[in-house]
Amino acid sequence: MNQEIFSHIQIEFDGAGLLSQKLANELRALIISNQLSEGTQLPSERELSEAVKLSRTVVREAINRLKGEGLLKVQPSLGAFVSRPDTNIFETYLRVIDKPESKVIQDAQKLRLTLEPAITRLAAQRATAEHIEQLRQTVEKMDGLLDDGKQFIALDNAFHTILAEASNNRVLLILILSIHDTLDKIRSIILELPRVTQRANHHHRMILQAIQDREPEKAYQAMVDHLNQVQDDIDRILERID
Amino acid sequence: MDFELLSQQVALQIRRLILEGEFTEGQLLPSERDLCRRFNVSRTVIREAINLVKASNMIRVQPGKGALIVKAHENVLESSLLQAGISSPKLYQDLIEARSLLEPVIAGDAAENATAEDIHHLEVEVQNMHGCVANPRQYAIHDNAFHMKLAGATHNHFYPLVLFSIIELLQQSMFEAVKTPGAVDRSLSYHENLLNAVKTRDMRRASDLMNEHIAQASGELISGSPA
Repeated sequence: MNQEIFSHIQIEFDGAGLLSQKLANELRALIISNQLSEGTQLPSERELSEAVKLSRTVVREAINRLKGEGLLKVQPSLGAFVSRPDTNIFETYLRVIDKPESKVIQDAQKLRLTLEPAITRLAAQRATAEHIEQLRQTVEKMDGLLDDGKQFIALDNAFHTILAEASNNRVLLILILSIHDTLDKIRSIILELPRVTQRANHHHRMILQAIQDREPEKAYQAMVDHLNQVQDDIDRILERID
Repeated sequence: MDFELLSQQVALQIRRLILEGEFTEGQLLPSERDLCRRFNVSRTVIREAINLVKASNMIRVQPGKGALIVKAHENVLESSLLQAGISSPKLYQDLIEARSLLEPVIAGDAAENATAEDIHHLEVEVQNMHGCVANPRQYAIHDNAFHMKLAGATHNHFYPLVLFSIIELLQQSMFEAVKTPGAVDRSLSYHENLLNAVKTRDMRRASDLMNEHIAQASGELISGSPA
């Protein structure tokens, strides 16, 4: 496979944070932004270790970490494959309950409004320098993709996932990963409204700023503002459909 | 329709019947023969469908007896966490933290949206709790049931699923926590007050009470969690 994408990963030992965690963060960003799509096989441990110039132990630990998040599936003697965490459980459940999509979307948005502002508050307290750097880079990339809805959504997804990772609560991270599909649906249905990406990234910037400044309550409020905006957009769209 | 697709659809129907409570926890699924008749499909299709439901841990197949329904929900957290091999104090902290974010909101939403039937279910659980103050383990089971009923009373499809996943993973430490002296009495009065707040549609009070209850119970849970 094309390993160029991995040789761009540069991780330096700076005494802060585990190397395996840093590598996991980089790989996660590639997966969530779909630069590594579902089903893609990762290079072998040895190849990956050469590409990123880190020991095999570090590579193995990073892979294990992502395995635990459901982002990689390791098949013995075959290798590691990009996967998606348990969304299938939510998805199956949603098919089982057989409720109108608008109700499911509203419910998911409500769950999100319960979790994400709190996640953002925790992120302001717990984010590492790398998390903040990743958030910053993601917001910057999104600025260049305001007219490319599909790419924008992929990075939007990445932004919210990095936040959940930065909350340093694995349960919250898994819950956010589990509603990815529904959140993506929300993102794509509101995309037809004017200036949606501009407004979203404006809010992302406010959130990032508050996290950088280590202002938990400001961060919380910035996420509430962001999600209220999304809610308004959803209401506008659903009104049209109904 | 091909065999695989047909089994998947039947499996989905069975899961729906479990989720909706027609097939209830603790009981056996109808026999293969009855299921064949009900869904009008072959025995092979039913067997495959049962295998699919089994994979979700909702039923446990007991050779010679049948398929026992062991839980009405699937745990969205379990497989990810199990894969990570996490069962550390940190996991308990994370579970409790997630719970303390969710439940006050759930309590407020339940106070807003509970139907007369929901309130009746909550009353029954409080009654049940009263009936087992001397049996902490039974008490914990009804305590959890109360919280699940509350999540159901929000009428948001995600809350019960998410809360169930968290509660189930905390269950073992709950069994320990309710043994703390005074824990059951304290807990009982919180639940009675919560029920009242829901009945009077006092969202703010329901949410505040839940906050206090979780903060109180968290201390007991942490000491009850495996080190």
